[in-house]
Amino acid sequence: MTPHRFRSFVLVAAVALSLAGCAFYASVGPGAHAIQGKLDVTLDSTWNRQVDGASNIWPETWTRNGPLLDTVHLAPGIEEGKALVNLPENALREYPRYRAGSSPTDIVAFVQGTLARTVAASDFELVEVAPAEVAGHSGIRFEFRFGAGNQGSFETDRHALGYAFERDKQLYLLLFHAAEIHYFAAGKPAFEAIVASARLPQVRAAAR
Amino acid sequence: MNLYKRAKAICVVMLAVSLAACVQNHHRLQETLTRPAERDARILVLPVDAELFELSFGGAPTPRQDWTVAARANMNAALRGFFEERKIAVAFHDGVVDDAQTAKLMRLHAAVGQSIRAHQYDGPESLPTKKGKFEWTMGPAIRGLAPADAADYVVLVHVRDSYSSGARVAAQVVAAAVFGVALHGGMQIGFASMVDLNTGDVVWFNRLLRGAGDLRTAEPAKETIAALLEGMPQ
Amino acid sequence: MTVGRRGFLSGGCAFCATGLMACMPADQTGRPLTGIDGSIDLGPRVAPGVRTASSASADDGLRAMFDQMERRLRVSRFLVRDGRLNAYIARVVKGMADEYAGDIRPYVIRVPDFNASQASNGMMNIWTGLLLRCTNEAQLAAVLGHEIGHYIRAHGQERDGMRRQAADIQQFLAFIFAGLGVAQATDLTNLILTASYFNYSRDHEREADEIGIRMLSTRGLAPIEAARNWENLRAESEARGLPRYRSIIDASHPDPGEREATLRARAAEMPAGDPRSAAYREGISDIREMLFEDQIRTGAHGATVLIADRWISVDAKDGLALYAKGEALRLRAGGEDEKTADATLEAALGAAETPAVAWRSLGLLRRKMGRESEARELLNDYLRRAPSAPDREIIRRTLTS
Repeated sequence: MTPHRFRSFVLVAAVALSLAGCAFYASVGPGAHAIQGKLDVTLDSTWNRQVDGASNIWPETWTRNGPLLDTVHLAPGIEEGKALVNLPENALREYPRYRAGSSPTDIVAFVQGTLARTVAASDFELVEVAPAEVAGHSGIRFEFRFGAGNQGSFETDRHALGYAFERDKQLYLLLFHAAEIHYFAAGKPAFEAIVASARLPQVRAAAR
Repeated sequence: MNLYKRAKAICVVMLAVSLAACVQNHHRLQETLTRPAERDARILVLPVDAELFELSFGGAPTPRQDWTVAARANMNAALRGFFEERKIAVAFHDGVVDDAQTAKLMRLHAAVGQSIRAHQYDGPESLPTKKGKFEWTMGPAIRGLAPADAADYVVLVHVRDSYSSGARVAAQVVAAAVFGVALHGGMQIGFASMVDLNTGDVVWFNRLLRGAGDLRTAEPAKETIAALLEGMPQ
Repeated sequence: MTVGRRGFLSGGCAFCATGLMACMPADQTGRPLTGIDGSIDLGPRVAPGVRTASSASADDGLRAMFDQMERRLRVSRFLVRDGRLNAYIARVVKGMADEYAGDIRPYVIRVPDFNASQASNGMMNIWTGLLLRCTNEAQLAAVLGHEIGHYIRAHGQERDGMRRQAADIQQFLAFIFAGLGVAQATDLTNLILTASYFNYSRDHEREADEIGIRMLSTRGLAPIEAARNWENLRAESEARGLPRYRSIIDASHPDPGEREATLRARAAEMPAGDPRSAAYREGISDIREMLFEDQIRTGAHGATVLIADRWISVDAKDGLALYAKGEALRLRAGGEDEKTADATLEAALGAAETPAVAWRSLGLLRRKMGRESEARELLNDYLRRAPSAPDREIIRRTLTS
């Protein structure tokens, strides 16, 4: 029998309505934003903040054009023995854990090891690790290129820029990674502005 | 390529199809092409990305190489006709990517296309900052895809098309007549984009989701191309 | 959005999850021995020289899809393009594939997990994690022979047919149950179909294992190394704390214990053969440092130590493996780890092929132990050996502070 097209439309209203009800992103900024009460930043424009979805495992994830093109992760106060992302313990088995007193080299490896799991990152090429002041603390600034995704998903060439410092044996990380072509350069100033605005909450400091 | 996942995706998209008819599918920055004073606009068409499938009795998609080959030829011919009618010079990319930089540009092009599909249209992944506007770019580096005198714009067409086999049609008839249940049949899922090679901006994007159309023969393929290129700046 | 996650060891490889590419990952499920042994006829079901034709057949459709994937793979940034490595891999494949040598096209892909897979169009994927886990040519050849076995026995096409058949049976049963007025029998139907599907695919794996070990034997390579692959994987699963058992229904591959025992028994019936360790190390030498660095980066420190120990047992002066072991222990930093790391890194500094980062590793470790003057000397050594290192600024800063 010759195959031919058979038009059939399925009942969709219920599914469509339920889909319409869930949104993975909400807008954030401009203005001040507190990250889990552990870090305050000020945004000079509006970003999309991830609030749902399977990949919503970082303490804070923001994007301007979608995660394939640009992503900011903020992870303040990562304690000794904890991973950068929030997942059930069995899913975290192979995620790297933070070690208090880590050297700059090891902090970069910690970040890369996490990206290897979250976005199938590999082929890391370190560009620079240098001293930097972040939120009034002496910390590091690091940059590396990498490839993300693999067959079956979208492979992208990426460039990452991160700032980190340690305080009270806890790691504070601000990370930006974006498509190497155009999006890294285009998003870098906005990310640098977020980093420059980062402050530890006054309340917490006063309470200590 | 996971056929199981593909089948599932087709089912999900099928659900969205009837909705697609009543929402805006194309977005554009401009209505007309920017033409150099001395000549027609030149468009570079990336290799048509089409795969055609036949649905078995149980709805499992089976790739059909003969249909895919025919569809690519039909679509290329239809594209050529479409642009020539509008006095737009068209060239076809041969699909050979042999240097790392071009490969990177192609990957960026694919990532931007995927991002538009995921985040521009209504759905769980839509981005609040993209609501009510259409602002996507590849950046000026995309110029590297073609020499300046060869093309002003680059067009990509992507289609996944499936058709019920005879057995599937029988299953659909039985399901509808005896049990009053609708089983999914063939689907046409696609998108097309146009990028200004001088600015890198995506000037137009269209998506297609429907249970109609046929790419296997020349005449209906023209109709599909016309549907895919709906709203394209001319 | 998660861009994509690779299949972990316990989850099986990403490709076999598709059910389309037959492959050989580590799996954890139990299954008794089968009738696939030295006496069975495993003649080819695909003729040499087959290419994708434009036809209505499902086999050509499948090949064409893989052709498309292969075109994408050729421009992937994860494709390892090192000339010497690829020449070596091509030589090993050619040696195993005989008259199919022109049909099997190997690609080495930079993913630090154990996997290889074979598509029905001839595309063979070899993950770099597999290359690091093998320490001799016989181990690699056992895996490649297994994959070539899938190709010549047309296992991928059979599995694709099974997939379609399963959907059709499911539809048919859905009609029957609906006709009988029985609601929701789909779970049971799924269970039965899945079990029979995996039963089928387990036999494919057993056949491919047998073909692989026969190839080793007839080419004078050590057949026992085929069993050793499984022994090594089992040890690694334990080191990584991966779950030992999964549902039998869920198992597309036989139990690694079964495969190891079967291959060990078969190897005992064959001449001992040559493992070809030196040829292997030479063949992958251009990328061996990258392989270890990628493995360390996975953060699976227990596995890194195990893999490095395997290399050290072949060559006690393997500076790369000593560094990798020491670095993994330093990063894990549990129990006696730092003490062992110190001794291992110390040994690495006096060995061959030791990368400059070993000096940094020991320097950071000594600093943590409070041995500041030794730390400074080692970090200075690192900067001398790697003057353009991307982290030179921050290391210099720590030296002056």
